Amino acid sequence: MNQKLLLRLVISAVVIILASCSAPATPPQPIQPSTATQAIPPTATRPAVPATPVTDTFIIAHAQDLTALDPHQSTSSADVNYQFNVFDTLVIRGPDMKLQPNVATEWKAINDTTWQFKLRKDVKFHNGEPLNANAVKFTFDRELDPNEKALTASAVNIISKVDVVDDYTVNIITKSPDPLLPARLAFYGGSLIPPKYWKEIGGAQAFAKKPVGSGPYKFVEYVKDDRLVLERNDDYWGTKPAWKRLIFRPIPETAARVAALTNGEVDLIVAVPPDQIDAINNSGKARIEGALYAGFYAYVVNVKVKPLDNKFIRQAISTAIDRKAIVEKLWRGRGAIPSGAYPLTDITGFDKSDPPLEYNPEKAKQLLKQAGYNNEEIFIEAPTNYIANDKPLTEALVSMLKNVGINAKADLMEFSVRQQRLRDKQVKGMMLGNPTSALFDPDGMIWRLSQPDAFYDLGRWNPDWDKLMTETRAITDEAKRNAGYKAANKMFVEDMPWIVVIEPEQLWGIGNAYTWKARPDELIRVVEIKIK
Amino acid sequence: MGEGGVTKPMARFILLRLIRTFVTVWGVITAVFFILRLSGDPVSLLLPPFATRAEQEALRVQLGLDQSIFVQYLFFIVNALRGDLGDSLYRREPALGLVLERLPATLELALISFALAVVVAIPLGIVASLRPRSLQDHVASIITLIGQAAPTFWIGIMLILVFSVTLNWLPTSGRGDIRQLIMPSVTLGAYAMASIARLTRMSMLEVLRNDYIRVARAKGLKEQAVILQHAVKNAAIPVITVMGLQFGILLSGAVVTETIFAWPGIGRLAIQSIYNRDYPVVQATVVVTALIFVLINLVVDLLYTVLDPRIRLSK
Repeated sequence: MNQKLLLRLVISAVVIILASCSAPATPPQPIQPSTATQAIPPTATRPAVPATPVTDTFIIAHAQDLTALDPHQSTSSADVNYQFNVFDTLVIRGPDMKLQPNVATEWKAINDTTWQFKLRKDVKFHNGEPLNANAVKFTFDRELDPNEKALTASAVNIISKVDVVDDYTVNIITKSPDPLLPARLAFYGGSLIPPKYWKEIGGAQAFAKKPVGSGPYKFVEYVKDDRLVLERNDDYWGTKPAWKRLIFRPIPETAARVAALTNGEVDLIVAVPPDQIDAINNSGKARIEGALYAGFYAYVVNVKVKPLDNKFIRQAISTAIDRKAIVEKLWRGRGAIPSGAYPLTDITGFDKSDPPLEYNPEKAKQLLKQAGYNNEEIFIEAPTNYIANDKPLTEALVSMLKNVGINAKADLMEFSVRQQRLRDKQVKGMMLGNPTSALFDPDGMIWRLSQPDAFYDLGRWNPDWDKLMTETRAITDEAKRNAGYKAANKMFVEDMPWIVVIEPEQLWGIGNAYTWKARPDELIRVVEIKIK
Repeated sequence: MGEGGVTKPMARFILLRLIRTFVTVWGVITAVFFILRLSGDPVSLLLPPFATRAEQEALRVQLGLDQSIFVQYLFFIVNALRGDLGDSLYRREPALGLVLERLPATLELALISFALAVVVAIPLGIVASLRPRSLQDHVASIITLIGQAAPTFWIGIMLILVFSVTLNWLPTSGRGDIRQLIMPSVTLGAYAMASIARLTRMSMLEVLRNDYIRVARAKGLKEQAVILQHAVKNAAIPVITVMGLQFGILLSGAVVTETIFAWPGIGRLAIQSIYNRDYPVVQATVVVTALIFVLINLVVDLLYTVLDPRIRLSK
């Protein structure tokens, strides 16, 4: 009996562990992962159902639950959407991704390392406490206090200190010249918190149970893995949202999430994989909204392993990829082909006149010959069930590379194993990633992720690039900054340290009763959603 | 079974069981502890992608993950003995609390599924056994075949397609309303139902061949009495063993079902925590699940003695 029991227990433990290899689940990520498993067939044959009746509650279904109600303790997509409906930031991006005043009415650099922000005088937290210069100082002091262990600290750690000039003016001093500071404050890490309430309630732990912000919605209730309930802040200083209640629900399974939308149970869903576009658009109840991803899907090359240390091999790989076919077939036309190191959505750096990355199998073969390629094995590594099409993309790539005579091999793994490989620089060949940044500037994505010591740094490939990027990031003048980045992109395309493949559209499904424009930074601000 | 003689061996039996339980849970948790840490990295999952290696190292130190695995294990065991299973790396609150919070949802789902499975399976198995190879037997065997062969996630998604998307009768997911309980419990119970029904049929067929059944019939007892009083009771022992096992399988099946139907139970918590490498939460889930398993086994063993006094508790 005892042996049998032990066996049962071990089996059940192993089942739980093995389940991690097969069951579709979603790790918390800054980017919405999608678990494209079971496709629901298009429902075109069904008669159109009348649009969802508009109620006083708006329901958003994410793929994951929230992980933290403390706005400085998470960067996962569901949490960031919560942050941007409950809290305010100094600066915010409009639907066009241009920076707009929010709590700060204006800002300017008063010297190389000091940005001055003037605040609105009519902003109050949900507890009635005024949002003033003191609250701004308190927010960043708290976030950067090592004892607070804030996970968003790395988004604002360029700040050295905050000075209160008067009740409604603050100076934010940076460690080095930083033209991007206002942009940094417009994303996670920028959520402002109430100092008086914070102290009254007794700090982070208690605050996370009953969070108070100054945004368009107030916190009501949170039931783990089930729902987050928010209520409209009728005293909100800005545009008031159309719904009295806003509910977040986690629905991890893609098919169930899509069904909940077409069924009218929820109003907006995130992380729709491309194979569900028709099912949603043909439902008669909801439609797809897409926005180009503020980043791209790229394979980060380990430039220290043979034969990938040879740039001609890397060029050959890039030239062998039929990106147009990938956009058309895997993403149903919803995506674009990048031209180098910067996504098309970048406001600075990206140059429209640069040609998209080239596909030319004959040239690829020639480059291989030139590099003296000797049929060495090249590993194409990717996590599965992490981002839309991660597995099919990798498989497609392997066959395209084989077509020009590259001995490519797919190596697929669980997401957290991928993270470990990147951390330990144990990437055998090249690893799929979905680098992105909400700064819309090369400093936000390519440089932050590939600079020495960064997560995607798998070895330096060109000291000139490092020098040029370091110099350019401190330039405040827009034209000079653009020129620097343009030169850097030429180097990048020549060296190909990342094999950039596609800038896909991120997809959402929304009920037909509403109008909404999806944002490249993937935020869902309910004040931007309107009833038709 | 004399009333006076039962207590002492029973007490000894339970005590022995408790000691074994302790050893078993320790073995399982040790295996899980080391297997979990073989691959994956919670720190790079926690921090934003642009966090530097230095920032990652700092968090690693803060979470105690910089220590050698054996030191971590030692700390874990010492704390576990004091009833402290650690804090979730993500939620920064006690892992055991997170599991216990979700336990009612899983138990609710498992119990309802189980009840549903048993209520359907036993009559189905009996009916099938009464006329082997008849139409009713074939129909029953087709039903059980589907229940055993169809993967849980497939059943779940098909139910959503039919009852939520097409017919719009039931909500797709969530917990709270009784209507939200229907599809998950059918999905989860399908496999157990099929297994129990098949075993009931087999066990009944075996019992019905016995001489005492023939004697009972020869005595002129009504067929109904023969089946219900003599056959079913004797056929029940293997069925109860399997039911105990099936309940355990239900708990692991909850992983898939809870994910499909967004049911806030420990299965979903477990899978999410494995993905996130939230070690303390996975460990707490395993401890709690293991204890439930042990408890079920204990109940099954005690039930044996009630059903068949010939079975002794000693070994």
